[in-house]
Amino acid sequence: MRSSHILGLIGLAIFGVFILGPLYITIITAIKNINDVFTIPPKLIPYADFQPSSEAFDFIFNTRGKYTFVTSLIVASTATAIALIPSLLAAYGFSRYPKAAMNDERSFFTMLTLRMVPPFAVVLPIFLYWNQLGLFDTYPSLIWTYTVFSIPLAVWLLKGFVDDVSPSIEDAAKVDGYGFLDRLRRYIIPILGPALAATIALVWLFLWNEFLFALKLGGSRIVTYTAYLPQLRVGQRVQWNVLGAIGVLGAIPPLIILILFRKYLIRVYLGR
Amino acid sequence: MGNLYAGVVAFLVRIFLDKITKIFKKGKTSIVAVKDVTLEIPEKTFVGLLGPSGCGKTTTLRIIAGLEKPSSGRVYFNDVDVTDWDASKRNVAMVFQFPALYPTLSVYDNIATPLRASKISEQEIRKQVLEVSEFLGIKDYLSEKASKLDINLRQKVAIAKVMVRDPTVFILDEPLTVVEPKARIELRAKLKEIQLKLGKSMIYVSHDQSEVMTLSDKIAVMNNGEVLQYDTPENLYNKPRNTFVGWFIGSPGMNFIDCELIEESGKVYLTTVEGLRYDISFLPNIHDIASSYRKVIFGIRPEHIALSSRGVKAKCLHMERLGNMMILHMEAYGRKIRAKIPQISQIRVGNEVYIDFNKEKIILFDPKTGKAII
Amino acid sequence: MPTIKLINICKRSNGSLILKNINLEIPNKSLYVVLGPPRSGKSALGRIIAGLDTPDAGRILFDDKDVTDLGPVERNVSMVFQDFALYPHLTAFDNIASPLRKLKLPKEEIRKRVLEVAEYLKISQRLTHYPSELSGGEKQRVAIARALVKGAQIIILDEPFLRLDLKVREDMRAELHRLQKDVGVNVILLSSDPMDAMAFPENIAFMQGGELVQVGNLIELYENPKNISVARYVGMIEMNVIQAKIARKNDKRILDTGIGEITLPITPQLSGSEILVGIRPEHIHIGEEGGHPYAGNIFTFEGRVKISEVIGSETIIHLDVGLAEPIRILIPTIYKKNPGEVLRATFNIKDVYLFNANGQFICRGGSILG
Repeated sequence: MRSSHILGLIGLAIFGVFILGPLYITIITAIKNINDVFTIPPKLIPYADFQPSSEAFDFIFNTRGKYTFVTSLIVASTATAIALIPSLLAAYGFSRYPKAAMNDERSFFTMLTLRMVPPFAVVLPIFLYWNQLGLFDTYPSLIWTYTVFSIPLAVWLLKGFVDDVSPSIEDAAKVDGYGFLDRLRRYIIPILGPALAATIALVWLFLWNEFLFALKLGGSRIVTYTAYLPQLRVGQRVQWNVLGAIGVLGAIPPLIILILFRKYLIRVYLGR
Repeated sequence: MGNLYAGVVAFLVRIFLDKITKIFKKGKTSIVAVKDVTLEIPEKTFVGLLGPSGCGKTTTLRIIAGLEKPSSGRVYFNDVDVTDWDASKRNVAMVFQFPALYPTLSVYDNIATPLRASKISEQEIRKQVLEVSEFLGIKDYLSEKASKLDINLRQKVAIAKVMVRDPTVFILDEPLTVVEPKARIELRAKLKEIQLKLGKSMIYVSHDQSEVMTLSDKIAVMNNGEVLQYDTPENLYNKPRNTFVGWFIGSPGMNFIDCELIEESGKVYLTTVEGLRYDISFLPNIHDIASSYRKVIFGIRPEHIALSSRGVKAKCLHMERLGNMMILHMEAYGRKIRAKIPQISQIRVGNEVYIDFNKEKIILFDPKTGKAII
Repeated sequence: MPTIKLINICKRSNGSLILKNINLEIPNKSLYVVLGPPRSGKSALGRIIAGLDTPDAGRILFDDKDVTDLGPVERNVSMVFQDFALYPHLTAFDNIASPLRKLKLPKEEIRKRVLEVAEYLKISQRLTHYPSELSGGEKQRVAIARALVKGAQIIILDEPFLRLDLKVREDMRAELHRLQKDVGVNVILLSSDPMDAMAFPENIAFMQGGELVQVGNLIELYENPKNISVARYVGMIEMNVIQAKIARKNDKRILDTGIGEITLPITPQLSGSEILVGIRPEHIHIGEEGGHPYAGNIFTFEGRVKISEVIGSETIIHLDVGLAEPIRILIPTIYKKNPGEVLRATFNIKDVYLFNANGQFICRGGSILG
């Protein structure tokens, strides 16, 4: 082997340890009995160092833990669905009518800043805002907040994809006699197809993993699985194994999405 | 300069392709991109690879450069087998369709970079860069960042970059396609000048027939992965060795008329069922040909047909006017013929005219193989 | 098939006028070429005739019926775009069927018509393929099939041949010709390639800078161009234009071109101090005629070959004569001369085109010499 190959492999191994290490620890923690979690030295190999136990997963499924996943699902999916149509139309507008009022670069950038704002800076005012309206700890407040924050990201991604669809395709459709809605339905959306799906997937993913707003705008009734995590203290001890189990379960949807949309997500990250 | 690989020292290099075949696998199907190509590119020669899209010219070029390895066959540089050598080892200079520059470096640094790899003094580098940029007319842009220039200038810088190296051969893949028409003519002339000045061979691929015919000393016409004829532009035009070359070279291409050869009272005639009877007894070896072939393809270029007072009768179907010339699309005895003649405004669609053929430019082809008989 | 009348058409874009008062009459069942350099307004005009855009001023009449406010479907117009604009997610069959689906025709009828048109354009074998699997020429045929299938009376093609190889281009021109003859529709070809005008020489409109400069057949534009732009553009190879100073000597006018003098009788047309002398590459011959440089009306000059350019079946010799631009000479066969070689060239002064300093056409040399 050449020296460059060996060095490369060493680099990959170090990288792997940093990435895969925590993942591994999370997974084995999830299948540990609570007492096995706190041992020193830590027990690393299932069946050899410790007996796997379903204690953590049982806990989740026997308590309200399982409802938190449902809540996350509802909130993320609803917000994504509501954000979709306005984002698509806005992206179309920005792409096809760059000279129209409010469609220039400045407006586009202003829209993007909505997303760039550090969540910590705005979470308290937003909380107060919803609280005043009496909507604290309700679905509408969280879903609406999520929708508003998702739109800039979706528009930004979709505009790039709409740009790639040649305008003469729409001209051809116009000449064939199709009106705007028809064109959108029959030609633009199918041609955007995978790109659209990837955008939806990405937006959904951000919402699924969102923590801060879920924690602050939700209370006792609206608890997403991310907001559930801080509740897992029992006295002085943290139920690490349950945390691990939640982490494993919470990672399943992103994993599914990554597998399904792998090709298209890479394109999104590379900007084509 | 000194390239350590013996025999391929960068001076005069003769390239030889020996039965090169390249097969690409796409899932379950395989595509034969290049089929059994044997070609010699002499020293100091401008060679063009020409053919329709998908004919294999780009793949052949990449095999010469070392960017692709052939599925079978060998590549020789001055009798040295370089088939397994990488492109960098072969010391070839490539110019691509899109300028390959370091966008963040200045034009000067872009051109100087290949020189800095060898141990030449900074003074000498400066001298060479100035010389090359003067020649290509980019001296005023030396301090500019490469990414800021327009496409025409960037392609000139890309050419300058390869000029300062001392490569074994220049390889150009559609380099002028993205350049604007006005700059294209200038760059074409410059490329030819470079080739003559440096005395190296240039191998040029383009789908633009005019470009390749203009610049090349010899052209390999390709179709479906095979080289059909490898000859000078004039010979490709005057002596096509098969129907594809006759059709592809020239605009409009050659006329091809299916005929039967009939020998009667010592004379040989081209005939058709619809009544054509044209005496071709003047062609050399015609009697031997008439005994071997009953059917032939009669090939004649539109520009080698003239109107005459007697000859073959034809009806004018429509006309294209080229200013002082016109192309008559005609029908004669059941066959379609185009003639390129000086502009005559009196001819109307539907008129009947008589045409005759330039006897020296007639070529007969074998209908089964498409190869030229004469 | 209707007669198309454009009356005082104006169009603005981004504040500037891209179409300036266009008045044009296109005969029915004709093949009409709108020729002009890029950005001369051809596309804008095409879109207005198609009904994709509305003019800011002016009216459009089809057979005296005002269609200005109607869309492409109501006008029964089809368009073929420069990049073919095929729907990438549909097969060739579905692409062609698209306009018919909008009209909500029964499935069998759609199938019948699509197959018919595909047969006519020789692409029946490729109907199940997607656009990405088709060659340039095939994509073009599908685009034309889609334009034909709904039985439009006008088909507009916007630079249809730009992206095609030379040989494919030749093929497609022949196809267009056949189509127009067989189907009898109005075909309007928007092109920046003079070769398209030559292939369809009966009806040509030359546009530049948003204006209609000259309308006529090819011979009219070739022999009597209105100004220097038309003269340069319409012709297989761009015309050579030399700036010359007018002087008076004895009782003759002398045009000093910088490479020789042209002597002409005095006429009121040759006024002013500067003049532009145009000579087409196809009117220049290599080699001397008659020996004496001033014999008859022959103008002789000399130069060094810069490059011999092969175009189709002809050769253009670029001759460096010491002027700002080399002189282009057209040789009707493939005949390459080496760079650096010295050549002698001649032309007949009768063939010369004279323009005033503003580029307006004055007359041909022949009309002065008689």
